[in-house]
Amino acid sequence: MNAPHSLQPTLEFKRYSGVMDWLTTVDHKKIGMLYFWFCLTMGIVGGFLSGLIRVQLLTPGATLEAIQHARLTGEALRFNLFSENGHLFNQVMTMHASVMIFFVIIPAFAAFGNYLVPIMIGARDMAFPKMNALAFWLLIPAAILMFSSFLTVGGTAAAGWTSYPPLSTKFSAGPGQDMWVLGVHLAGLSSILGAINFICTVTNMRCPGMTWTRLPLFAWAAFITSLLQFTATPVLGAAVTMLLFDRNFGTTFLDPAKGGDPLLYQHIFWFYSHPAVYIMILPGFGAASHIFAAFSQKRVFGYLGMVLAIAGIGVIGYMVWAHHMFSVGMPTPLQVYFMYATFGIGIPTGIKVFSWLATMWGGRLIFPTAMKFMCGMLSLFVLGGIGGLILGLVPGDYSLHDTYFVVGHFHFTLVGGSVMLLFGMTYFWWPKMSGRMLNEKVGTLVFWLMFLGVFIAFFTMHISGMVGMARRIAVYHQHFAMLNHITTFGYLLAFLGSLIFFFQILLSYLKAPTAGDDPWQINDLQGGLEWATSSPPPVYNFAKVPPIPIVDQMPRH
Amino acid sequence: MVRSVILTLVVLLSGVAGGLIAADVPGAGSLPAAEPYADTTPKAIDGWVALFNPDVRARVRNAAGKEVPFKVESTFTAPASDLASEVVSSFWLSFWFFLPFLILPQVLLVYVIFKFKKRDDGRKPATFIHHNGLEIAWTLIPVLTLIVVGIPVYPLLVKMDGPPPQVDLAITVRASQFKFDYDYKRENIQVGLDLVGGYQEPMVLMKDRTVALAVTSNDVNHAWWIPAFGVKKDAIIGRFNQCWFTPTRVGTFKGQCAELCGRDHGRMFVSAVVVEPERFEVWKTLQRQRADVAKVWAAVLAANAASDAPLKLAVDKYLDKAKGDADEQRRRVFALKFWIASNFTAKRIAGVDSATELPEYQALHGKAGDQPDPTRKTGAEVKRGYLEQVISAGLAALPAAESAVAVRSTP
Repeated sequence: MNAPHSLQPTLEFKRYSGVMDWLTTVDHKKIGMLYFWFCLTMGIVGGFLSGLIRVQLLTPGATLEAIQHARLTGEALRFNLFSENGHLFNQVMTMHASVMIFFVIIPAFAAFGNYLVPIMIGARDMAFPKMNALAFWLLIPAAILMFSSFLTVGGTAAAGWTSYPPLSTKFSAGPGQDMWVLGVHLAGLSSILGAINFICTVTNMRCPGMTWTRLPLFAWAAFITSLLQFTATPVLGAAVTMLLFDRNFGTTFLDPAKGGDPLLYQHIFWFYSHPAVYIMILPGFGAASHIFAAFSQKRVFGYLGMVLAIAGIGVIGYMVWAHHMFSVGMPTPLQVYFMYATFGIGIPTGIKVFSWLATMWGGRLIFPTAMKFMCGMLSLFVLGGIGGLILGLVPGDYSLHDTYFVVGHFHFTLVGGSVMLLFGMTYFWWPKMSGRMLNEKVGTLVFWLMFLGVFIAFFTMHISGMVGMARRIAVYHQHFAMLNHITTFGYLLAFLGSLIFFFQILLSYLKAPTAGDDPWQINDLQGGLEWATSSPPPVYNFAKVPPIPIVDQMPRH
Repeated sequence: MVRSVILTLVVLLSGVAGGLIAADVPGAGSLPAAEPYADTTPKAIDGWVALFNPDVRARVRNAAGKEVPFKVESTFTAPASDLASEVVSSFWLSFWFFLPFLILPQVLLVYVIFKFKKRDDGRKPATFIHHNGLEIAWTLIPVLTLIVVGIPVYPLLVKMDGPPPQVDLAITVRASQFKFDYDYKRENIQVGLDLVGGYQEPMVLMKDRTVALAVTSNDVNHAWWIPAFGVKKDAIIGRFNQCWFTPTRVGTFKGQCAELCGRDHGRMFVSAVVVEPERFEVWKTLQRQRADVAKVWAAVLAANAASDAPLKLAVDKYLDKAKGDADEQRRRVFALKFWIASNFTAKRIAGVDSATELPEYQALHGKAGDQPDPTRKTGAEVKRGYLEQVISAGLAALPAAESAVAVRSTP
């Protein structure tokens, strides 16, 4: 590469190779790959944990009567993995959620963001490369803390990923809950540092000509998501810090006997965790626009509307947190406000869904695996989204809250939405990231396993909830047995799909990197800068300032 | 149409899953409404136990090898309160508004996939990238729809969250790991986890009488929830959350704690029995004698071959309290029979595999494994004498297996 002298790095520093290179790298692409492999591994671990949950729920355990009988007599229940002890089940359930949220979905979008955003905006790296590395490496001790707490006396946190006090304060003995809190602190810190980096990168590092109105939607989405992360995650830190202090240092933030209030935690927690659900999907929404447009052989429909919709979801997402808490006993006017605010989320989301459809409309559609995943995501996410609106209706929510309807709803959005998006993004950008094409036949198999598995497992959960099955229970009435069998079947399909996906990515390294700069042949129309560089891109991405190949995404009148 | 399809699906799946077995309350239907205390035949007492303690009854059957699972009824499959019915109609009304937004994207997606699939027809892809009219339409139409959806919900919400129209029963629900205690404020009756049986007692309610609940917790967060009533309230320490509803059907309704509360969260059950108001009066009478009967029951448990005096004394003291009042006397005998039958039944299922492990059995016959001495005059006969004389109906009210456990003696 004959780069101009001025673009050569001026600082001389020791270069490592091999493992040491990966451990010390500050290159955004390598850090992106580290994130990617970390999330992929954690995804399999989290999927395995949900497998344990499914094993426990394979049979009702017993009828309610027999369960009670067993509890009184100390007899073991029929085929009950965790015997009569719901504590272990609670641990597994808590860790499944924590791993999937803090170590899979949130950092997985950081993986793609790290890899793609600097390239998409024509930058050579993130604004703060070392902080970027720090953000990733903080995840490792966070994960170690959380997982090693399984080995402590009393096990890991067992109060759910929401960790409501007083269950998580006075009623969780042992260090597990504290280690969970510290793990969340570290993961949160990683999230905040990453967010600062993205905000600074997108604000300052765009190459000449890359105006805000030309910014690719994925970069927009990563930027807005980072604003959410940067402002919301400290709030989570505050919430879990109150837990930590109440548990260890005698404070009484959450203890009503001494003037505190356990509800305080719920409000603060959801003030973070509702924006967090958008942190977990908005970058994918941005990426979906790229993929829909690419394989429709059209340009994105309604660029301005899409950007405003992402921003709108971000803003409204801050104002709806208490819809997780309708049953805690809030004043009626507040309930009405939160109901309407929740509906408000539906508006920008609807804009996005219809704009994607309009992007496809009149196109010349081809269906590589990535496009299949996007179509599947659209279908499942709409189901999940409407489920969310239904849950927003307060009187109905009194019946549906904390049932499997809620579980089905958020798995439709998080698995049917975020995970399907992540799979699709991988199929779309893996040739760019690794230089290796992924087999389309295997990809199609993965898609159908995932799509059917997710639909079967989580649609059934909606019905379980409506007929009265509470969530987070280790044993259930035999009335719900068949519904749970169907859910388990769906889980098996989806987990099989995920395993095949994992090994497909892993084994792709066996092939030589042969993908061209523009493997999907979309650069002429889409003009993404990532397709203007080699696959994988060189260390400094662009030897010279890349030409912005496309005029404004906004229509001119 | 869609609604009926979904309902059918829900009912079918739940029905197939559980087997539609209704709560089995044998004899309860034939219980006398007027002068209930007059009939203390075993059959009648048995019926009352089955009515007011259906869990116990069901578990006895379970122990006998016949499973009697209660059907779990939910708001959406079988509403059993005025609020639940309104919630269901409000839910489906809103669902109709949401349905187009659920169906339309799916239909459009399938249409687009097949219509605009790449074919060898030389067609060039369209180039439009915006359409103001469409974009305004798919912003404004959902906005208007969602505003409209909220309107009919509002009065129902105000009704549910507001004060009850009248209060016929005021109950404080106090949750703790892993049980619910119910305090009937006006009747001064406390029920909850029965210490003898170790089972969760049901909340007894009246059909068509409004009940107001004040839900609170002693420790961690819980939530009181019976799906069929359409009401769920979190139990939070330091707070009293109010809710109310009016049961509209007689029956046994099952639910459980709906907020993760620790180890046995999945086993923290709730039952409610809805009865006619006149039967509720019987239940109140029974509850008022409860403390007194407990002393007799203690004597029954302590009875041994050595002396029958404590048992005799306890029974005498119990009945002495109503001396001179024939009506009260009858009620007391009735209550004694009810509680003895109830406690024996509970005892039977309170975690013993075989009758020989029951303390009272051991007291009478020695520990398991000892060969009963046919020549020895056991305390059983003494005890049985009193039991038959005073509370024989209560004993006979037990199913055969329980009676055998209770007083197994040489014939």
